[in-house]
Amino acid sequence: MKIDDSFFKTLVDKMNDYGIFSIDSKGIIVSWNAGAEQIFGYKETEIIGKDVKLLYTEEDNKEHIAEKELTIAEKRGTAGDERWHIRKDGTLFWATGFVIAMKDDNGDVIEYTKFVRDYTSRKLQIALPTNTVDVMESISDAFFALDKDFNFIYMNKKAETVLNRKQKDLIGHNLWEKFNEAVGTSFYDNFIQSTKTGTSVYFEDIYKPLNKWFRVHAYPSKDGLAVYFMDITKEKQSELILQESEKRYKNLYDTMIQGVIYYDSNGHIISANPAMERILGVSADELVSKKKIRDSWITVNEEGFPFPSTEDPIEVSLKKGKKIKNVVMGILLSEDSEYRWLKIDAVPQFLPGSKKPYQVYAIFDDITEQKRTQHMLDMRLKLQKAISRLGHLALSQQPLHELFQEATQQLSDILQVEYTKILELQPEEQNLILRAGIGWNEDVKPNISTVGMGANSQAGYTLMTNKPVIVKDLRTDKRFNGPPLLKRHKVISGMSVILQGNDGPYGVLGIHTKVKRIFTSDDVYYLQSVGNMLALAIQQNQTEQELRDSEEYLRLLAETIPQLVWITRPDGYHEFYNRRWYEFTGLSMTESEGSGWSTLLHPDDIDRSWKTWKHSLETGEPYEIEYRFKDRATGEYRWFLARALPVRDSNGEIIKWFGTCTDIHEQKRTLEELERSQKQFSALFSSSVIGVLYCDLKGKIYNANDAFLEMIGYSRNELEAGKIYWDKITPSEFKQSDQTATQALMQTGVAPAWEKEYIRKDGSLIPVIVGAALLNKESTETIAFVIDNSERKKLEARKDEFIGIASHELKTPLTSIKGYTQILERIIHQMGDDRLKLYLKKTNTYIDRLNSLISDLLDVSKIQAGKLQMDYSRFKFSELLTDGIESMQHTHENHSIELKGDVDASVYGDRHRLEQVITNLLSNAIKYSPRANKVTVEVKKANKVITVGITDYGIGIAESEQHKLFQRFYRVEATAKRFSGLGIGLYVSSEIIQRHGGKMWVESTPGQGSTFYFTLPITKNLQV
Amino acid sequence: MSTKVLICDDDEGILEVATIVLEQAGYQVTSLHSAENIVQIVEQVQPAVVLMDLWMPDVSGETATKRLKASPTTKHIPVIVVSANKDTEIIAQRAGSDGFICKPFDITDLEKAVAKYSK
Repeated sequence: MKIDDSFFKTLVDKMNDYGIFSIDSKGIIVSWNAGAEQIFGYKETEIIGKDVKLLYTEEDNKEHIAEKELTIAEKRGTAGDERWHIRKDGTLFWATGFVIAMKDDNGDVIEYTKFVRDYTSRKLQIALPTNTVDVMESISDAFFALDKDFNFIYMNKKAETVLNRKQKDLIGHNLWEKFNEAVGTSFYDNFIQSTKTGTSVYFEDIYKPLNKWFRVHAYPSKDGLAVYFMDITKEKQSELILQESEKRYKNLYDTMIQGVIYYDSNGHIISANPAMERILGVSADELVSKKKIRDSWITVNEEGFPFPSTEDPIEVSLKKGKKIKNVVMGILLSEDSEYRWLKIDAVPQFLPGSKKPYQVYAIFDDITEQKRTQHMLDMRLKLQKAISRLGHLALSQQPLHELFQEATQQLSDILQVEYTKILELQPEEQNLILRAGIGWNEDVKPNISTVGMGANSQAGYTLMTNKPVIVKDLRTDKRFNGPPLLKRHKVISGMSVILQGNDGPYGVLGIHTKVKRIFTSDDVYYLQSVGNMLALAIQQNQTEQELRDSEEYLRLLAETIPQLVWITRPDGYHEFYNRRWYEFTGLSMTESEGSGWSTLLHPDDIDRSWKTWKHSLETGEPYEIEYRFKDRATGEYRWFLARALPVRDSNGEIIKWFGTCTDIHEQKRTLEELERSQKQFSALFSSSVIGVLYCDLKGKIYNANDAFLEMIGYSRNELEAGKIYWDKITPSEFKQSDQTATQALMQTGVAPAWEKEYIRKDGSLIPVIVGAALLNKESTETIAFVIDNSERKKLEARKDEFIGIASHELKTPLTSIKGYTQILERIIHQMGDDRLKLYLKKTNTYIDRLNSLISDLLDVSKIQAGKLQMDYSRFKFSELLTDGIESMQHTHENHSIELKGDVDASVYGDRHRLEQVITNLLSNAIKYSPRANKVTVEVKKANKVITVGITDYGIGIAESEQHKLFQRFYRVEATAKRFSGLGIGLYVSSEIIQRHGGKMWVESTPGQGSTFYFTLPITKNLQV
Repeated sequence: MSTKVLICDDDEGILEVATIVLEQAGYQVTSLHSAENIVQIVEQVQPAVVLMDLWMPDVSGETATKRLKASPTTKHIPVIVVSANKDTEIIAQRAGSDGFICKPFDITDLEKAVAKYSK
């Protein structure tokens, strides 16, 4: 529209001599311009609303010419008009013109615009042709006259100009010769027809050789043809352009995004385009029925005030006849919706010659979105400025109250409200205290004045609702009891939002007005934003305080504890170490920072440590790991237990990691040892054989295993009840040995095993072997191991008993027999009976043999019981040997015992036992060589060892049997039946020699004899 | 007045053998079957020497020897312990005995021992 506007205007200007008026589809005149008034004589006010037929002659009306014109225009878009019309004063005038039909989208005619020109003068001239050249020349149309053969007989100057030919070139010449291109055209046809029929013709056509449009009137006469014509090229072009423009305009009108509304000269809406419908959301008909926008809806100006009628662009445009541009108007289309913002141009429409617009059209853009965006941007800018300003204050760590002062002032300025306030919640006092405010009376003082909680104040209510509270009218608001403070200040509207602190709400931010104010969503948004920003500052303030407190505390703590202490950022960057760290690691501050700590790790621990550390950083789980750090003093790795916990702010965000490294090197090693020892011990403790008990040196028994309890016959309950004391279960005769053990414990920490007895619960005694070790010198905690010794004791007792009984019971009668025999010997000796003497001597020999057998048997028992006693003395070995041989020779006369060699050495030993050995060996030699008559004894000394070999020439011993000879009760199988004996002699002899530090062995050849050897060391102190 | 010898043994045979041998040797022999009240008897008899069997029921030779050696009235009297087990000589010594004879003994050894301690 804007584009075509100027052109359209130009067009209308060019048609100043036209009367232009519009007719609706029913033939009623709806508009009337100044030109029409001039031509027809009717004033606009007189003719509007009248039927167009008023302007036609009675004859034409009978033929429905007016309707026909419109019908043609409707069909073809335009219709020519050339006829008589009636002026207001009743006079007729010849009019030429045309009608244009204006159609809507559906092709239906909205209205017709008729263009009319007064052509009376020309009509008269044509109707009453004169032959005078003056007349011809004076007329404005071109004219030429033709004879019957179409030869030029006259042409005026105008014709020369229009046809671009000279009179002299054409006069006397044939038209069709001179203009042969016209042959066959409408010109030709019309001229021929006119002359033939004798009727005048009127037509318009283009003459192509000249590229000109002509409007031609040809009047035939008996002399020829008079042709009036005029160049209407421009007119035609204009007409076409107009048609084109109209079409384009129409299209534009329909399709443009801008809304267009037509107003009549009264400022009433006539029509509107589809864009209007879209923008305003009402149909064109609906809008037309409303007549005026400002009467139908609330309209505001850019400042939000009711739109003043004096600035209504339509009114102004109509009144001033001027185009009004860029008027912004907000229309509240419904109560629920927001303002729809229009940017309006009002363009007045004039009829030719009229200075008063006959209509105005408003063309408008919907700038709601643009305005909203702009508004938002403005608000954001404001906000950003405010936040930037307040944020700066917050960051500069100014006291909160200064920030509050600034914020309340800003709010007051930006939102144009009379009162602003910041209240802090005092939960304990059950009220809210004023921290800052603007606009309040003097008696309302920050940090003193308070308002109530809950529904007793707007602030209290805000805290309850937990969202922004908007009060349209305090006087009618039923949500809370309008607090005295607000009522006293005549507050009507207001808003309040919660200020969130770190731990729940800090308080409330509020604004209030004395006049009724509808707060827009932007206002709410802004207030909330300031509130959020303040909350941020409050939280930051609180957090910073907490942070300062916690960090100072952490670092103070770090220096006081003996471990290596470190603090990292949430990302794990080490930013602090205590002095101990630097002392231990020898690293500088810069070397330690960041991840410098890991360079000290034992290579085997690096991966594991990083993995664990990263896991903790990602999850926030406590960090705990054991790893090795290099000790700068020794260069050795030491085990550390590293632990770290996240330090969180009140929002739960990790702000630091606080970590320690504790040297656990010794503990770890000790622990390993302990673990092993504990494992061993626990096996011991659970042993069913060894009794284990814990006690102190005062004799209090703390704990004992089942084995011990079983030994002493008490239950665990009795132990736990403290019924068992060392003294209580120890017979008095062992107090002394216990005392000795206690002293050993005190002095050396260990008491060598000692034998003692315990008194069992049933009063019986149990012999035990006890060993003890002091665990803790101060508490005298002692562990004792107890072995049940009763079986061994029983066995020992039985062996002792056996030996005792055997000795007593066997030897006692033997003693009597021997005694009586000897008494008898004495008596018979006096009687001198040789035979009796011999028998008694033999009896004595057998008694000795029996005694010897009993002794051997007892010796075996003693050896077994470890009770073979030695009675050491120093004596000459050779004497022993000689005595032994002589003693044997005395009772065994069949064999001669030959002694070879001699030793001059004294030995330290049990003479009796050694003689027993020699006797045993000699008696064996004799016994097992019954067919021989000789036994050889050889003695020698070498390297302080006496070696004695006793050789017989008897049956000998197989090699396989030789080593078994010295076993107890062993008897050579093959000879056992032939030779009596217990098989204990060699066993006892061998034991006696071993007890003297010597050896005994045999060399033998079966069937040839054997040699039994033994050695005796000559050392002074024999091993006993 | 012949020398007094007191023999204490629970075995009848040994008591008789010893009595025969020692009486023939000229000693005045008192024989006891049991060591009960040994101190009182020895006090009363006042032997030059006591032959004491070690292995006896009720009061053992060891105990009896100890008692004799513990009593001021009898401790000066030599006690010869007689035992079937040579290894018990040390017990006898610890009890305070003066001599030891092992069973079975030669009667000459008995005579020699009594002669030795009764001088």
